[in-house]
Amino acid sequence: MTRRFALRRLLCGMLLMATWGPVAANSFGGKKQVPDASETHSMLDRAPASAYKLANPYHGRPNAAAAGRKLFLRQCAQCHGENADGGRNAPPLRSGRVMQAPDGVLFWFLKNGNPRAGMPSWSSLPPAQRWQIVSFLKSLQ
Amino acid sequence: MAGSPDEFHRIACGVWCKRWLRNLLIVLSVCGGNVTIARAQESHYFVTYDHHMEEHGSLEIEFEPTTARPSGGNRFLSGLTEFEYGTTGWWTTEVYLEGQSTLHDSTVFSGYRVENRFHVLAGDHRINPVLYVEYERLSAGKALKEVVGFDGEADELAPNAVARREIEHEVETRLILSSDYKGWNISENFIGEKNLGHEPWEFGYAVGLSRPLGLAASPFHCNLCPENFRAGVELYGGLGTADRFTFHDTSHYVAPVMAWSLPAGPTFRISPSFGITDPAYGFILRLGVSYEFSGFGRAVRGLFTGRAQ
Repeated sequence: MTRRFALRRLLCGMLLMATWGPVAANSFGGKKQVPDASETHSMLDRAPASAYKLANPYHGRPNAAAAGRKLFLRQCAQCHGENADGGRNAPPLRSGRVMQAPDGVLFWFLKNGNPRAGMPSWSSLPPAQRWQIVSFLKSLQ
Repeated sequence: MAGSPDEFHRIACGVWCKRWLRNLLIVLSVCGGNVTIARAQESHYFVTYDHHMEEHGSLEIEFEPTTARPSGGNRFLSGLTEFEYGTTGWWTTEVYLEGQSTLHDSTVFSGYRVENRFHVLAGDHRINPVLYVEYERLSAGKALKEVVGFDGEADELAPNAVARREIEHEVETRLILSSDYKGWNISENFIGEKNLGHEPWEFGYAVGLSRPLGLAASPFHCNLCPENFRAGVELYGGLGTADRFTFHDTSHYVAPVMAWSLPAGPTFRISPSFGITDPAYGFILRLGVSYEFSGFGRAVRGLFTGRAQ
């Protein structure tokens, strides 16, 4: 009985190590993610041709940028900074490459993200809200 | 006194919960300004999982009380405390602590669950597969977090003192398929659960459909804007076992879901579940409140490396 109990404890310990060990390694000694604008730029370059053809339905609507700013502060500012100047672990979004990217490419990037570089996919946001964020980003130039 | 309102208060934030919370609050307070409360990009369902992962380095804490009354039994209140951490952008790890209090009976700590979810494909696709593996060690658990096999209300009739004699070691796996389309989310979960005590595999399913009440955001700051609300419905139930794969004698539920996310604050969820087959509970009420702490991993790392992050 004691042996069985010990075996169970060992199994539980191994399971916890297997699940939380990498978490700890990632937190304390893992590879740090450094803000790297080139990572974002190369991801933008990978946008499919169809993304370039997408037109922003909110283009020219003054309220869209205001709504986009609200969404940006809520969802993006923790990493990219309140003024999109970049943060501790995310690049600035006022760079020329981001500003020059077509609206459709930014929309595509928001939808897909780049998890390897720490940028989550924002496909949970409805398309209208992603377009509003794009309108806000474009209003920064 | 068993079954008194005090008992329900104890389970809502009992001794076990208070200890964990105290330790967590210490860590959060030491981390100070490096941790911010953010709006979570989280699932709005209670039983169904979608493909949205916890953001890298973020910690989400959620409290999920559930109450139901089995026919011929006593009403219970189950409390689930969830700690969800974004290990990477494609890997989310969660730990659950669970307890329950039954009227005219007792309050018990039921056990814990450890789960991992892996987003298989990079980017967003028409169908996004996620693999889910969970280990649970439960005794007299009544959280009803999933329905598999021939689970039903008759399972919860045993007094806590009897139910606690059996400790269940189970592994639960899910194949999660989830899609976002024009603001709608549709998610399907295929569940397989194995009791490690030489019992056959049990199967179940969960399907969820939801969308925000407002697709476009208002330009004004507001708590009651339609885009802060999300409504949906879940359908879930058991599919028998490996020996007897069937709909017959299994429990099935339909459950409307409503979520309200405060800007840069907590998310509140409510879901009344209605049993649509005989073995199922007639009614289950689930509530949830969650906070997300953005930059938690970075702040903890800063504590140990001594560098301001």
